[in-house]
Amino acid sequence: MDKNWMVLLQEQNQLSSLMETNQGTERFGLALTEEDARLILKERRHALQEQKRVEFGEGIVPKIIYEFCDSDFIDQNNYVDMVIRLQEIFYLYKNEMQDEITDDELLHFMKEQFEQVCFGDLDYLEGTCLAIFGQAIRAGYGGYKGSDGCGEYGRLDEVKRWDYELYLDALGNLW
Amino acid sequence: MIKSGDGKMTMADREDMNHKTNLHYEMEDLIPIVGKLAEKYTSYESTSITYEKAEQLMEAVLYCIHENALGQPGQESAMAVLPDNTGASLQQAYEAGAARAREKVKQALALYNEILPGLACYGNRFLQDIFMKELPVFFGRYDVDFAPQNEILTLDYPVLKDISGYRGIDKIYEFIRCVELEQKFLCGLPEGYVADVLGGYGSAGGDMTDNLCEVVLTDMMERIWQGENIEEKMKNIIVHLVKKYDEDCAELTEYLMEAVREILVWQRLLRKNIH
Repeated sequence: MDKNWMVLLQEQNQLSSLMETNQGTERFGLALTEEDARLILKERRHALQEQKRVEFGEGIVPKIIYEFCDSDFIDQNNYVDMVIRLQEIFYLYKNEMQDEITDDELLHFMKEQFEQVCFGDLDYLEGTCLAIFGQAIRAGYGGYKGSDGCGEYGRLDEVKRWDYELYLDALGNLW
Repeated sequence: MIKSGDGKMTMADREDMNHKTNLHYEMEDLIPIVGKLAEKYTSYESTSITYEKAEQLMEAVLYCIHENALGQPGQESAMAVLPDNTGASLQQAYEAGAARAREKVKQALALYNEILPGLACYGNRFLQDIFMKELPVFFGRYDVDFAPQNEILTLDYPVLKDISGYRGIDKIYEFIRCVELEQKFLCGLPEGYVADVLGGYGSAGGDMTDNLCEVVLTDMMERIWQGENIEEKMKNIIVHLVKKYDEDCAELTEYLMEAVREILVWQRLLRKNIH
């Protein structure tokens, strides 16, 4: 089937809605120029083609921006690159999770791991946290439906993480 | 048999439908309708879908627009819903078509329920399987909102009317209508005669795969296979038989005459080869 209509479907009102996000992100020191926004939309097209997906309405980028704009690991210097990578990862895992998960659930999961487990490392988010979560969902895991994607990774994590309280106790004992 | 995949509409099919229904629109006119349907499909919880799903939804929109244009059984085309090709009127046409598809599902189910108690399959496994096993699955699984173009079943029992041009609920409805006509005809014949003809046919060849009426009509034609004007003779016989239980016999007569003409062609070819 001719795919042109799919391109038309996903090119509606994108630029203006992306520029509008500046109103919400400026207080975190983040802003997009029109050139940035165009670059993000261009990369979005590639990502959607790559993942054979079609987007409608405002798309996911404004949601990604609002979800991640208060991150400790995103500043004006890496803002555009981070948004581009996050949208690539998002579409990839919508497919990997066979559309079982909603946008909000996936975004909440991504943000939580990005902050608390990956400490801003997108490769770790993509290759480990989301890979494990995706595998669980494909195997029928549905616990995220009640939690909106929050607090899920602890149940699935294969690595023993730092026990921060124990760490602080030990640190206190040293001094 | 239950189909495993969706029945997809090709561009050629779409152009053919456009021609038949005199509808002309660009694909971009349909984009807002598909977008809304996609949002509904994801329950407004996802902003993207796969290509495959997008194609399915586009076909659902096209199906409903054409459903609206073709109208309901027994009604004239409802083209009045489509005064021009603006986005608004296409949206209205889509909604009207979707409502018609839903209505047709109800009609098909009512017809199915009407036929089922008295259904006589005469040992035809395909007809029996479709009515006893597959149609209940169809009515349970048919997705009139997001995949109305998919009829799910392969309909292995061959009816006498060519229904290959229909899709979705239209095809299922036409199939059930054909079986209704056949049952009417067969029930009107002498009780022992049909059982004798079809019983003998089934036991000779194992599972009967042919159309029930075609077998009965072939037998009737063999009995009068003398002299000229066989088609005319058959028509007179059919009209005579059909009139006994169906005053408006034109549809059933024409349905059966399709088979008569086909059988005649085969018989003539056969005789030509023998001589």
